[in-house]
Amino acid sequence: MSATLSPTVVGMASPTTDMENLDIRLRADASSRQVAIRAFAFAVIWLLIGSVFGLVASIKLHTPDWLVSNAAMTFGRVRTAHLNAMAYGWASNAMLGVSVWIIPRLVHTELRVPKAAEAGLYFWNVGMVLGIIGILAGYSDGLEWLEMPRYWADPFFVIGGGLVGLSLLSTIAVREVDHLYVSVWYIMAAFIWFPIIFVVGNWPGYSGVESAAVNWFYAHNALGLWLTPVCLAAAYYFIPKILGRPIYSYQLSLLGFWTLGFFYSLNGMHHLIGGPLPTWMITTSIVASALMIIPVVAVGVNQHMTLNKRFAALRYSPTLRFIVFGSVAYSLVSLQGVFMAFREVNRLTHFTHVTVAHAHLGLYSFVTMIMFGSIYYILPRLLGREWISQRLITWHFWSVAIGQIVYLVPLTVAGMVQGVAMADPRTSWEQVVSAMMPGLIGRSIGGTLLTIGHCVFAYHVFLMFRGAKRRQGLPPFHDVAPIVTRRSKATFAAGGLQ
Amino acid sequence: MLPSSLIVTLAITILGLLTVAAFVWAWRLGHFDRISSQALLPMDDDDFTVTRPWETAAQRAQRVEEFGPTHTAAAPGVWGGTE
Repeated sequence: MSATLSPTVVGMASPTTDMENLDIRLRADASSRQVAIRAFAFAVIWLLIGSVFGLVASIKLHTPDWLVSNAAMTFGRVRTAHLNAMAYGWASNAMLGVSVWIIPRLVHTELRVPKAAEAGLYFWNVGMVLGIIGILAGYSDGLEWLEMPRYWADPFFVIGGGLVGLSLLSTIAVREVDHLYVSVWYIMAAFIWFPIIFVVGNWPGYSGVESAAVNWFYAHNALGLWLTPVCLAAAYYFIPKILGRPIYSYQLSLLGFWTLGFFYSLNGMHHLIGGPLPTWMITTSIVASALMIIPVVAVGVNQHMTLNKRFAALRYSPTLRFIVFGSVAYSLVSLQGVFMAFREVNRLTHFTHVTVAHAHLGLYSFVTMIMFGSIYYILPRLLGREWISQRLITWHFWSVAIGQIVYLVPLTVAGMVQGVAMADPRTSWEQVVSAMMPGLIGRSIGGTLLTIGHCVFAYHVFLMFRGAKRRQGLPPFHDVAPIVTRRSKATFAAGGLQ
Repeated sequence: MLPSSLIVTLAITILGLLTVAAFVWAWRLGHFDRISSQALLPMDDDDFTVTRPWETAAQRAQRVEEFGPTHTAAAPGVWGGTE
C-alpha cells in the first residue's frame, strides 16, 4: 500500500502499524459490543410489534369494522402505536446500536462510559413500553410524532438519549484521530440536534397555531435531523468498507452534511401550507425545502459514483444490497419531498395518502433498509459467527423489496386520485373513498409482505443469538471468515471478528 | 403573527447558530484540511488488500496501482453475509 494513502497515517494523531491498527479496532469493537447487541435485540422486538400494529391499522382502512370492540385496537390508537414503535422503537434502537459500534471504530478509541450507554438504552426502552401502553390506553398527547405521554414516557427518552449521547460525545472528545470522518459528523450532530428538537417539541404550554407550528417543526426534523444523519453515516461507512475504496468525493460528502445542517431545520412549516400561519414562515420553509436539493444531490451523486461500475458487488453483499436500496430511496424521498413542498403540488397531495406513502418511502425504504444492511454487517462481528442461512437473507430482501413496491405504488396513485377527487366539489366523499380502495388493499398486501420479511429477519436474528451453527454442506457463504484470517486466531479470541 | 411563530423561530435560530458555530470550530481546527485524505479514515489496511471477486481486471489493476497487491483471498462472509 502506498504510504501516502495509508489510513494508518492519514488523520491519525500518531502513526500506527498494521497490527496496532488491528488492535485498536479489536478494542473498539469489544468496548461497544454489549451495548450494540442489546440495542439490536430491542430493535428487532419493536420491529415485530410495530409491524403487527401497522398491518392491523392498514387492514382497518378497507375493513373498518374489524377489531372495533376493544378501544385499544381502534384505528386511532393502533396506527399511532405503529408509528411510534417503528420510529422510536425499531429505527432509533437500531441507530443507537449502529452509532455506538461505528463511532469507536472511526475515532480509533474505545467507547467511553459504556455503562452509561447501556443504561441509556434501558431508559429509552422503558420509555417505549410506557409510551405504547399509554397510547393504547388512550393517553396520547395528540400531536403527530409526539403522541407518547409527555410526563410518563418522554422523560425516559430524554434521559436515555442523553446517556447514550454522553457516551458517544465523550468518546469523540478523547479520539485518537485528528480529523472527523463524515459519518462521525453526522452521528455527532444527530445526538446534539435530537435533544433540542425533542425538548422543544414536547415542551408543555403551546396551544392553537403555535402548537401546530412546533409540532411540525419537531415531526419534520425528527426525520431529517435524527433518523437521516445516522443512516447517512452508516451508508458513508459501509459502502467504502465493502467496496474497498474510499468515497468518490469527500468534498461532496462534507457539502451534503453542512448543507443539511444549515437548511433542514427550516423545512417543517411546509406541512402547514394553507394553515393560519404567517406567509413568510411558509415561504421560508418552501425555499429551504428547495435548497435541500443540494445535500440530496451531493449524497446521491457521491454514493452512485462510488459504486459506479461495481454494481456486481450487490450480488455478493447483502449489506450493500440493503444499503444501496436505502440510499437510492433517500434520493427519491428527498426529491419527492422538495416537490411536495411547492404550493401547487401540496394543494393536491396534502391530506391524502400520497403523504403516507412519502413517509414510508422515507422511514422504511431509506431508514429501515439501511438499518437492515448495517445489522447484517455488524451482528456477525458482534457475535463471532456468520449468518446462518443465505436463503433467509434472500427471502428477507425480496420480501421487503417487493413489499415496498406493492405498498408504495398503489398508495401513491390512490393518494393522487384522492387529491383530485377531493378538489372536485361534485365528487361525494363516498366516491372518494371508493376510488381509493384498490390502493388501500394494495397497501395491506404490501404491508403483509413487509411483515413476512420482518418475521424472517427476526427469526434469523434469533437463530444468531441462540448460537445456532450453520448446517454442513451449505455454500461457504455462511462461514466465519473475517478479513483478517491471515492473522492469529488468538486475536479473534480476544475480541471477535473485525 | 409573532405569538404563532416565536418558539419555532427561536428554535430554528438556535439550531442554525449551533451549525454555524460548529462550522467555524471545524474550520479553525483544520477539519477541512487534507480533505481527500480524510476519505480514507474508515478504511483499515486489510480493506484494500482483499480480493474483490466482482472487480474487473482493469479495476483490480487500479487497486494494485493505488493500494498495492491484494494478498488476502476473498473470504466468504466478509461483506456482511456474502457468497
